[in-house]
Amino acid sequence: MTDLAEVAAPEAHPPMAHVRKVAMWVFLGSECIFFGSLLSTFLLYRTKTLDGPGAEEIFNIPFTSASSFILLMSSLTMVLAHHAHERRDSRATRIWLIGTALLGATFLAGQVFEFTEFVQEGLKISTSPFASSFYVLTGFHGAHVAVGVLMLTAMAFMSASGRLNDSEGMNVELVGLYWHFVDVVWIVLFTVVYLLQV
Amino acid sequence: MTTTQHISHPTARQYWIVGGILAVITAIEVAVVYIEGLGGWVAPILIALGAAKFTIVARWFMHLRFDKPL
Repeated sequence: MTDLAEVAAPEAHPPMAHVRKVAMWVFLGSECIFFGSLLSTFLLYRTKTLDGPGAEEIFNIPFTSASSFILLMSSLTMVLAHHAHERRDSRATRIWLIGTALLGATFLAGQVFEFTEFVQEGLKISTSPFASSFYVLTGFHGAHVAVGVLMLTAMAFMSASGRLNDSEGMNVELVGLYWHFVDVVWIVLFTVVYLLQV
Repeated sequence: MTTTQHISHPTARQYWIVGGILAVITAIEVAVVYIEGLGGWVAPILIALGAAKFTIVARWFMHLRFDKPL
């Protein structure tokens, strides 16, 4: 008779850190489907502007390029935070985490400014299918950036109080994966939603 | 170390170089939009540059280049 205890021996389990990392990748995979569906919707409606302004009239490419550059550089500061964390340099980890959060917050401020400008120029969410699909897509991305900024700030505080523990909860590597994913999504959105539409 | 599957990660200097490459690609992307005479080449160039940035971030910053496959 098979010994069930032997089959389910604890030593046969993969390390928890490994499981959590795979779980994060699975979550990011589901996020790809989420953003993929929103992007497909935008591409279907991008020419349906009705009486409202279209992409060419309203997009400010130099401004969005600067925002994109800021978010891209936040991925660099994030990987430097992870690098410092692996070297057990908690001071450098905190500095890079806070730097990343500030760059993310700057990107968000830029998005709020951009949305405000668009509304003033007549592009409200109810103006046209183009407007609704644009605001929903970029707005959800902004919400993801906001969540990331909160997680980064929390990690910086946890690091300062010595409670940043790799073996439980979120750690620098997992938050880093999330942050880089948010950046990768913006790389696609910047190209497809902005640059290819003007 | 958070996991045991890392092989050998880049140095901070290498990360800065990768960041610089990403910045240059972004600058080229923006320039392509304003360069006249590219005609039908604009979209393929922008898609190729976007794909290059995507790949660099995923492989270097998300460590897909260094992690062992499952």
